[in-house]
Amino acid sequence: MSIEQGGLAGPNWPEFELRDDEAPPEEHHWLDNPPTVGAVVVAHNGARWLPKVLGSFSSMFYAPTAWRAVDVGSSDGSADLLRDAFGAERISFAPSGTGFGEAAWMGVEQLPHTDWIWLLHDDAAVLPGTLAGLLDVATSAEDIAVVGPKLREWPSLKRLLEVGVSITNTGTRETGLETGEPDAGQHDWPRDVLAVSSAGMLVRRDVWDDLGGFDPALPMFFDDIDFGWRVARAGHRTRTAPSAVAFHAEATWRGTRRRTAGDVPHWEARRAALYTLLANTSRRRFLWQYLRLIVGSILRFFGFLLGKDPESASDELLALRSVYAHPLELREARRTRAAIARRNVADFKHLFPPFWLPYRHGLDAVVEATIAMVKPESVETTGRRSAFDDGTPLDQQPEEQPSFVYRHPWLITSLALSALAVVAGRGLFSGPDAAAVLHGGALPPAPDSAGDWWRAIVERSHPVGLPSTGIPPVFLVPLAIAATPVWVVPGIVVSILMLFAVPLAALSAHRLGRRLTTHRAQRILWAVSYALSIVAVGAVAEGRLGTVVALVVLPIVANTAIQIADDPGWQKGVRLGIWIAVAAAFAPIAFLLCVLGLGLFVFLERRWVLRDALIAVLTSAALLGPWLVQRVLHPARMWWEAGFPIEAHASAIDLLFGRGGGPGAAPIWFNVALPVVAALAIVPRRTRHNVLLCWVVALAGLSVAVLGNAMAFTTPFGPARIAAWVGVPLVIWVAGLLTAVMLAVPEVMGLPRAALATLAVAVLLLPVGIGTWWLVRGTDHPLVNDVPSTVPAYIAADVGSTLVVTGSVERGAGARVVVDGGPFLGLEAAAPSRDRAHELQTTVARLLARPAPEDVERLSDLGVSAIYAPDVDPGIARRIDGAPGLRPAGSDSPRSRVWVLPGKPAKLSAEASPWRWLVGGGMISAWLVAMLLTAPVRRRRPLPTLGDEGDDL
Amino acid sequence: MRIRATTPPVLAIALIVGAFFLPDAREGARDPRPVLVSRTAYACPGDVRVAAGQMTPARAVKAVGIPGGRSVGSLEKPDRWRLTKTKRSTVVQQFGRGSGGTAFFTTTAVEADGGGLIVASCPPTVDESWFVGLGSGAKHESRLELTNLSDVIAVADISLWGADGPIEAVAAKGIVIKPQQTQSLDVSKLAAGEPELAVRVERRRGAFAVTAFDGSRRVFGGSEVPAPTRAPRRNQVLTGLPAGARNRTLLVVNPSTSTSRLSVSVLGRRGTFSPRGLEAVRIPAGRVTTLALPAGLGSDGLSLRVQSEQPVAAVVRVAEAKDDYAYITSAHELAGPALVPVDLGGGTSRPRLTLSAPEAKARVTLKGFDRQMKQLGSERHELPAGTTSTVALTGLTDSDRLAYVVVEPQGNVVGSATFHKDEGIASIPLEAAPVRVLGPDVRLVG
Repeated sequence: MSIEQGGLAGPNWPEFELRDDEAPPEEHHWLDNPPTVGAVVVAHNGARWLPKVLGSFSSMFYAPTAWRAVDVGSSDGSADLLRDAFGAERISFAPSGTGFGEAAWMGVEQLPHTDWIWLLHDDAAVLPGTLAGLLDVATSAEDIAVVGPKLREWPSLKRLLEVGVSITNTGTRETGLETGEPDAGQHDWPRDVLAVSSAGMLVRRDVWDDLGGFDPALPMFFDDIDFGWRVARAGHRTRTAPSAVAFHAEATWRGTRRRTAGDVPHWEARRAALYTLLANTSRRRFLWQYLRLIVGSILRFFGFLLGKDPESASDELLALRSVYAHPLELREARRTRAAIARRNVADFKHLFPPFWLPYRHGLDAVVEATIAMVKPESVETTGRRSAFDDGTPLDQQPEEQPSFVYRHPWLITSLALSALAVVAGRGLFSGPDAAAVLHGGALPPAPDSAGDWWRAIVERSHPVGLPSTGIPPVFLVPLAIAATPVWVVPGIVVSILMLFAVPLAALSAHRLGRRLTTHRAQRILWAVSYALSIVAVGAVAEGRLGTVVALVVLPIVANTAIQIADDPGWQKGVRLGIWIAVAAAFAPIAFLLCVLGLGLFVFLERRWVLRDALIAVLTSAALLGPWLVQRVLHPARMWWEAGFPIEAHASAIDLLFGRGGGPGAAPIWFNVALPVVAALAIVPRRTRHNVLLCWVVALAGLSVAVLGNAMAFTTPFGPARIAAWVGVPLVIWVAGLLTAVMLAVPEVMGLPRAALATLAVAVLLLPVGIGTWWLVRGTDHPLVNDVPSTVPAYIAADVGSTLVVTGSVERGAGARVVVDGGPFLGLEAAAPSRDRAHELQTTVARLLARPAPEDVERLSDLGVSAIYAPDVDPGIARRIDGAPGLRPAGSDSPRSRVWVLPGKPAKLSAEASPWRWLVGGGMISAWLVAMLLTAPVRRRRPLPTLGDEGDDL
Repeated sequence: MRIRATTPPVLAIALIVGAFFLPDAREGARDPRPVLVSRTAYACPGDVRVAAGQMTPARAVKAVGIPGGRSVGSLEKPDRWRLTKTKRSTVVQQFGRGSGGTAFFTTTAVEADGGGLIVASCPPTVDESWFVGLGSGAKHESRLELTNLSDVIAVADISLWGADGPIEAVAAKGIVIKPQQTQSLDVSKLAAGEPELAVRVERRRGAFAVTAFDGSRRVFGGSEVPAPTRAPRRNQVLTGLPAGARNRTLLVVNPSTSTSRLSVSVLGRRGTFSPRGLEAVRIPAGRVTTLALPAGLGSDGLSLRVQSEQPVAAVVRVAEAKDDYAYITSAHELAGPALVPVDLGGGTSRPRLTLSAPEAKARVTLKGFDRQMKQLGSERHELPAGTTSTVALTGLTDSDRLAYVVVEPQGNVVGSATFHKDEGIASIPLEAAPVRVLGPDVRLVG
């Protein structure tokens, strides 16, 4: 079949099927006097698409009267394909690096003179009625100079790419379509547009000649928009022909075309956008546009950096330089356009998108970036992408029409856990009045606003009773960042972490579980059991925020480490370090545990992960900074987690069954079967290796827990020894056993039914038992949601600070100085200077022994205006009664006593060095940078192309 | 890495077993710690001779008569032994780290009050004071004097036990003592007609000192300002029954709700022995029980160890003649040097010390000082375990300038000092001077 006959000769070309709705009109008014059309196909390394493209030319209702193919330096056999299709005499060859416009010009020059020119790409296929549809519109009016088809996405074939195109005043190619918008005929009426794509563009030959074709300065991108703009200024119309459909793979735009020497650089797209805007903008708006694009480009540069898209950021600068460094070229372009102008831009202003559209796009970009950070698997990245193929064997895939529950078991489980958390947290979501906040046990209340946390990070002196110049705890930084969006109610962050600890931990554990097993049911059960272990150990009810956060994060740490084992990389090492830092900021012992874990990791994976493990340790150490140094100087303080240092003690039996001791721990018998079943899990030979590894991890946790249980630490406040809380290593012990069981489960499926039932009961005892217990007991006690009342309100409102005395003469007394209602979360660790702490301690000791007037005066000098003894020991009260000058005052309960000191308390000042804010600023900067690094990195990545997904052409 | 299958469970078991033997890291109760006293305050009654001193010179002394707050200048010299005669109750505050300010008073009661010799310490503020042997009838009358040492009101609660059981006294609770005032209470107004009473004065609020005046016009008449005995306990030593006493009566109150069995052993000059008839004495619950001690205990100075099933408070009333008596109370073991007045300005003889070593062998060093706090002499005494020794202080110095004696213990020592004037007798327990006191172990918490 020859091209003159409207078809194309060639063996075995795949053919497009004609759909009913794409049939040509029955009558074409131009058929009586058919116009001549010369088609130019430009190819450049398009062998991947050309067979189908050329095949689509073979069955057109109305074919071009002349064909010309131009090959631009192809090295993939494209020229051979063209030669086979068109014959050698219709092929022209352009050197590599020739732009589309120049190649098209070359083809047009070698065509016989025709009424119309049809420009075709090597990655754009047409339907049999495409040209006929174009001519229907092209011949409908005299002033129509350019007509474009409706472009649909190839390979999906159903999604719209373009039905006409325009440009925003920021240089974005605007199609007016939603991303991925399917073609349902919603744009099927011809309309005037600024431009149409050069893929399938039908151009009147005389206009082409008058305008000189495409601008050679736009070799690849925006040449069509620039051409349409010039057509409009020349007084012609560009119109869409929706009845003409073409399929475009956008190989160059998507980067799927094999690149060769001479191809345009990546930043050419942005350069072309800037050039097109500046070359065509009216004289009146030129200066404004000129400056605006500079500023806009710089802003976009920083936006790309923040969005983890360094390559686009680089492109932005290179494009800006390329355009603005060649003013003469720009001037010449504007002069040329001015020469052919017949209309003002204002005359076709309606063909441009509204001015606000770029800002909406910007907002969309921010939303997308946020989603990318929150849910990285939802975007294409080269970084953390933990969601991957479920791996469920095909024979286990749900059959047709499975229930929603069966198709989304994890979603249902997560929702169920969240619902359980709501029920268990009854009474803790709101308090008796607006000032109520979650606190109790080891958890201090959150401040009134996120600003208090930010201020605590950078201020030189913390107003906490005796002024403190200590470096604030590093966990304030992530807390402040997280609380910033909920500025006036930062307690929401703490409430979510505490009350939804189980679903949060289950989510992170389940994500890790995907890497550990392909069996969905076991994985879900494992994740739920792990999450409930956090409740069972007593961390939630006792307000141990540090333990909760660390145990939510540790599965992510393990997940990231496994990613490194699969595919090492320094960025993953940094990411691992960041997560370790998050866990250790809240529970410093997690740092030690992670270092131990990394040691085991390196031992198992050998030297090839050593570098990344070291990077992880160094990164976390850098982020923890002075906080870590403080703890290293007093190693026992690694046990001091976020919150009040409340002592705990677990018996050996508690340790065995994963209970940290204290009022919030679950009964141990829910876990009695776990060690036994985990020991049995060693039996199957096939999974023994991995099960033993789990045991090693579990034993590491148990060892640390046993040692920690015998340790006590002191705080900077004084010599009080606080027995360590070992919740974090205990849950690691339990998690190791749970993992061992999970890995061995598939191997025991062949056991007799009775044995299986026994094992199932043993395995289910933990999640079902603890879940029920949690639901019945609730999350409260000692956790409460009410107005914090470290001291009675009328004392808190008074000037000066309050000395709070607890304990008894016989068992020892505790003393702390508070201002207002007491310290908020984070400032509980802000200790006064050693001298003042010692002075307070000795003064209170004298006060509670044989008080003298000077003791009262000294207290006043320390800024104390009142003494409050809640639940007072009579011996303590009598001794304070004996202090000369103290005046008893009314107390808030019969069991408490209040004394007021005479005179005005001194105003203490303590300020750290002026450079202190640099420490806080450095901490904030380090964490912000770290969080940006944690966000997914965007790279130029080939989009799905022909053959990558369903190709039903 | 090759791991034997049995290794992990065995290691886990080993760790858990190891956890059984590791120490509990919790600190538990923290014992009270000695704290250097920087201020002492005590109240001396009016119309008595007061002798005040200290272990080391104080920084300052402030003495005011109440009510009125008139300064008593003769008591405000911080670096010497000072004597004065008070007209009204006097509150003395002594300042200085570890000076150990202490004061004593002496007087002779009028006939109407028993007419005997009184020597006692000026009491400081204490949490509770137990007096056993007071009376409110049958020619045995007692009076309590509560002196507020502070600028805010104080509140006292008084509980009483009689021979027939606890006494629900009207207006015995919530007794208010105004700042810098003395409140005098006749015990008879709280519980009339009780020949033998036990009284507990408890400090509910504020700071006040308690002095009990006791006088009897019975066959063995006399008067005394008894020192508070120790709060009820199961094991205590009543120290310093003087040699040659004719009448010795053990008074015990069992404030519990259970009958208690009580045994008495004697720490004599040569050792400890149990007198017949006092091995297992039944003490009814909630009552004051009077036990006449047998004459066979001997005429040497001695101490009594009283052990009981329930906590009891006890004293011994002793008389050498019909005209006066003294109370021997349960005293603390000396935790530091004690100051014994010699020159009280009232004509009393040099006191006789009765010292016991109830547990193990001990030693005391006695140092005599004049009014200018200059040491005049010293001597040492060994106290064999479980024995009681009597020291007459005559060998310490011949100087008539001896104003006071400091008793420095080495080991567990309890003791008392007995004073005589004519037929009168008085006794005070040896109490460590308030150089250091026990206070709670204070820790700053975050």
